[in-house]
Amino acid sequence: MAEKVKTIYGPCALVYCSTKTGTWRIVRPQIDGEKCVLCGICEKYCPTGVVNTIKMKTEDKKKAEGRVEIDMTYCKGCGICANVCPHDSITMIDEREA
Amino acid sequence: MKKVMLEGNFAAAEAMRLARIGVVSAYPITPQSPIAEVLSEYTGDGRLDAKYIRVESEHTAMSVAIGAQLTGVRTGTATSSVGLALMFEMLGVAAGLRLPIVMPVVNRALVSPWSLWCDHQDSMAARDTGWMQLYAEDCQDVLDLCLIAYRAAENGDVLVPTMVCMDGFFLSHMSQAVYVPSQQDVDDFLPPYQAKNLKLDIADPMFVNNLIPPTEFMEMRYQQHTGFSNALPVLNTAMKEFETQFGRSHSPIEPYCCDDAEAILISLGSMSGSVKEMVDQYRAQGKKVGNLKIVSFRPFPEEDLVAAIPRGARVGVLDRSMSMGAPAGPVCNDVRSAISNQGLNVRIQGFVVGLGGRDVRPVAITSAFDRLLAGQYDKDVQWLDMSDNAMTLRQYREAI
Repeated sequence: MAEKVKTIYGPCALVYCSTKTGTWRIVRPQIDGEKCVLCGICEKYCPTGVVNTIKMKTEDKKKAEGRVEIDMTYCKGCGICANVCPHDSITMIDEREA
Repeated sequence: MKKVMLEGNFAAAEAMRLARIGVVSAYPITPQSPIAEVLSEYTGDGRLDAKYIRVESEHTAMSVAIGAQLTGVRTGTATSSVGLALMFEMLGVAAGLRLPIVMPVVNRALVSPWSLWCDHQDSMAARDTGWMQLYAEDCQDVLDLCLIAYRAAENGDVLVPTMVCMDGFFLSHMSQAVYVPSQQDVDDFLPPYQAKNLKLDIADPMFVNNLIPPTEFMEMRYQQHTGFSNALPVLNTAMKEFETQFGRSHSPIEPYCCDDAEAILISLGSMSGSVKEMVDQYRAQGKKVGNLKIVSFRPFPEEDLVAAIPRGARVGVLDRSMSMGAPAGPVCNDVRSAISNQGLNVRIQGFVVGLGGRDVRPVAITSAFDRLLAGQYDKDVQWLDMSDNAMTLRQYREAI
């Protein structure tokens, strides 16, 4: 395909590498599945809206089953989920050790 | 082309209507308010197909104009005095984003003291924000210069926003028979607006006005400088094209009786008419004086200005504002710089006149011409037509 180079004057960004906010992260949340009760409080507090609590129906209604998914492309590692978790089931771990 | 009785504010609004502005965001301020009002009427009754966005301040008025213009429409706003001061931050944004917004500025003094009336301190304070500045002498100039400004500012080699400055009350509220061109003629002169540089388009996104590090900042400033370097020839061409289309001639500087003049007064705006009247009276007495009117203060027409001054002529500058702490007013400082830059050694007498709405009376102009003709020069700027009791205006008695 033929292309033409166009010049733009003034301040603007045409490459959006920084908009994937996951690249900002230095610590990441790690969830302890034994402690987590799938209450969904972390999902409600996440400022980026990247936490997704998936619950599944089970025969025994007293026991929750499912998982918590976090979209690491956009999770900035702010740690709010770890702070609000009532069961201390989220630990922020160093990206270099992840 | 029909002739209509218009005040300067209405002449500006007519030009904006004829330029088919698509978004209006104006905040009223004396003496600009009639522009905001008449644009609202035009939008309301359908004479102008535009969206009128009500804003709570001049800062927002310019912000809205910037956002709208980025989507590819001409936008309309106008202001005065402290309104222009409140817009200051966004003036730089419009200039840096290279948005060719054309804004009538109705010149009014800046605080303090409070004044509703004319001088040039407001636009002079905004001199270095990266806007072109054209100064109108009469109401016809207001309409013509607005149309010329759109044409020049929107040129792809320029892309610099432009203030069309008119003296508050002296022009903004003065009726004059003004030729108003037909929509068809203006459409031929001003094709539909296109965003030639930055644009907001959901289908082709770009992130504008982001933080720029020291590694690129100077280069972007230099881009603006280049736009201004291109502006003067483009402005000249736009004025010639305007003359072809509408039959009225304009020029970045307008010399009057300068060819053989022994004394020349340089002026901006409406006071130029008074200076020309005094030139006629002096010429009738055989005294060779002239007037050099600067229409385009930014870009500053340095070469043309110096070329218009005959060798040996004594030159004074009438500033309608003062650059406190500087040797003289802003126009005089620039004229001195231009004279020096062109390799001439001429002393330029600085004068300050007509602040805060004071008329530039014949007595001010004659005292300036007489000083020049007598060869008097004072390195200090001369404040003309002032009361003798300037330093004792307010006094009270205090017990010892």
